[in-house]
Amino acid sequence: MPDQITNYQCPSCGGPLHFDSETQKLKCDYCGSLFTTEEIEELYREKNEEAVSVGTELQDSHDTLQWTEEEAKHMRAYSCPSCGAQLICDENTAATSCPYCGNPTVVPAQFDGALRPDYVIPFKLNKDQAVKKLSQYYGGKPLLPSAFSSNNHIEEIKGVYVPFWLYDGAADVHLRCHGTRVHSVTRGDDIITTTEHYQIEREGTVEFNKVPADASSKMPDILMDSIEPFNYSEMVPFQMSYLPGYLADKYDVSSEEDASRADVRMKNSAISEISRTVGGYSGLVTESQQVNIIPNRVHYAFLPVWMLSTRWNGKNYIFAMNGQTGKMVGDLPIDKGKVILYFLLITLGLMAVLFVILFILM
Amino acid sequence: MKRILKIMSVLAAVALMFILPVKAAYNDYVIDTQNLTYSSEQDELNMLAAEASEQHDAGIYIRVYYDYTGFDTIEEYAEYVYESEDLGYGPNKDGIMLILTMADRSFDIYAKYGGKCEEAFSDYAREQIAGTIVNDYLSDGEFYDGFKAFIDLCDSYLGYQEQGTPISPSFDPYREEQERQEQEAAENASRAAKTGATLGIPPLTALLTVLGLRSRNKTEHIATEASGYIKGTKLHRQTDRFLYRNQTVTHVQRDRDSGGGGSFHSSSSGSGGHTSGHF
Repeated sequence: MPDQITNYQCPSCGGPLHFDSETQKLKCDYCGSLFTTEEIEELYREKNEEAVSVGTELQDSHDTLQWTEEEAKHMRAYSCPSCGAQLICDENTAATSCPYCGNPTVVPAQFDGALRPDYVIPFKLNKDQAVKKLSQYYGGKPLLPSAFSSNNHIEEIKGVYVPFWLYDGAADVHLRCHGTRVHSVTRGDDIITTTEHYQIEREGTVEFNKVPADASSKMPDILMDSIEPFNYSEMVPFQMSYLPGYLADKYDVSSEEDASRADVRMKNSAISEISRTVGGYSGLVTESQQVNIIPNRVHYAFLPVWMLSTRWNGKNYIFAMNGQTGKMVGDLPIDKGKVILYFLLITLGLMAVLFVILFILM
Repeated sequence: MKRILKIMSVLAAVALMFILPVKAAYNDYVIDTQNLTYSSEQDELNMLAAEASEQHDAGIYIRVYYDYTGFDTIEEYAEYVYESEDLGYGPNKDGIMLILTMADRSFDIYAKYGGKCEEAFSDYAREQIAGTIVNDYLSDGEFYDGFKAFIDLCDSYLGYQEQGTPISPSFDPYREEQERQEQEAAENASRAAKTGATLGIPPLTALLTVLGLRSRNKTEHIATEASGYIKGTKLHRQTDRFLYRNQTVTHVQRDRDSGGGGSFHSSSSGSGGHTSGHF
């Protein structure tokens, strides 16, 4: 049978609570009461401790008639504490909302023990701001098809706490280069060029703090990389009460699997950093570079992302917005007709201007 | 009687030799001791110089020697050569001589004023000749062409003098022609540059602009750097070890075009004028 999920309810009126990004507090949808996350966490501590069991697999339920065995294995069923409806969720779902009563719900068991994130960056921008940012994002892009922005309707918008691994580590770099310095002096009709050759060696350690890599296979890596950076100074210890009103999945890519992505980034930046200490040469050829990544702590964090999707000409366009900074990313279509038009307009316009300046005025 | 007539005719011929102006022999007009030109070229130059000299009744000579040891300046040496070889036409030895000394790559154009040459080869005229032959030929090692140009120019300058319009700053058809050609070349180059700019810059600018606008629609990228997450850098070893040095020497051919020989030195006296310098 369906198992425990938590539905944060207003202590005053019993209405559903959701995290309000503007006030950074939990707000009641009905009476508008505001509560700090600490107050609600304290209130629900006991309830959460009881809600230890994960949602039941669907194998014994009649629902299996509609799901294959493999699918059912990865699904979980919960009952909504508000309306009693059965919620069918992915096995990784950590926070969602009831499709019948709309109340935000959290699955406490997804945060037990090692599954509990170390940190969370609370949402700072709400849904309306995300929609507004998207229309602003369309601006200043002359090659965007006009019909895309005018006939475009957001099909889906959801605030998601995306699981991220944050890697602490260091990179030991050994760099060897061949450098040249060139001086020239003129004596009479002769130019004497002297080239000095040097062997340059650098050894150093570059330390990194919380290099992010998203830990959800559902989230496109390219989008998650593109919405960086997050401001870690606003990162706080994880509390479940930040989740109501948003979607959240627990990680489904392990920190070991994700580490290679962070390692590549650390390696590249470590080489650049150490290379910057080599200066004063007119020519530089790298002879060898060795980088050894020394892993340190790995942090598990939930970072806020608004995911927006639109459909145009039968194709889905997905955009992601950093829920903290508002940075919006997502590839937009290009109007080929406009490309040709702009090319011709600029070419002919410049030709006319240059003709007037060079052949008539000069 | 026949014998008496023969003796008289020989005596008359000897007398004529003293009375008539001394003219250089056919192969005396051009003497190249340094073999800058082939003997066939020397013959041709000699013939050209002889024809021009005869036509204008003023000698045109070219001399090439190794150096001017024993003299302070090439001008003094030029005068000595001219006098000792008894060059020139007419009683006042009218003529012009180009002399080169290869040891220091010096030259001097010496005009002996004997009637025509003071007008035909003024300071200005000699500098124009020097400018042409030195900058266009001698500096590039084109000695035969340079000598031929010298003879041709002297021929022409003497011709203008005979027409009553010697070459001078106020009358110089060569300079005017050169200036016209330079102006025409400059205009052609300017027109070509303008056309190239008008046809080339706009499509290139448009392409770069369109690519820039296109990139605004593409904001997704996989992160390859983590420079924003660097906590600190410690350098354990930093060595820059000198290995060796090498040198290359490039000889630069200086632009000696001074717009008509302004870098040459000219001087005149009552008996002649010099224009000298290096090539």
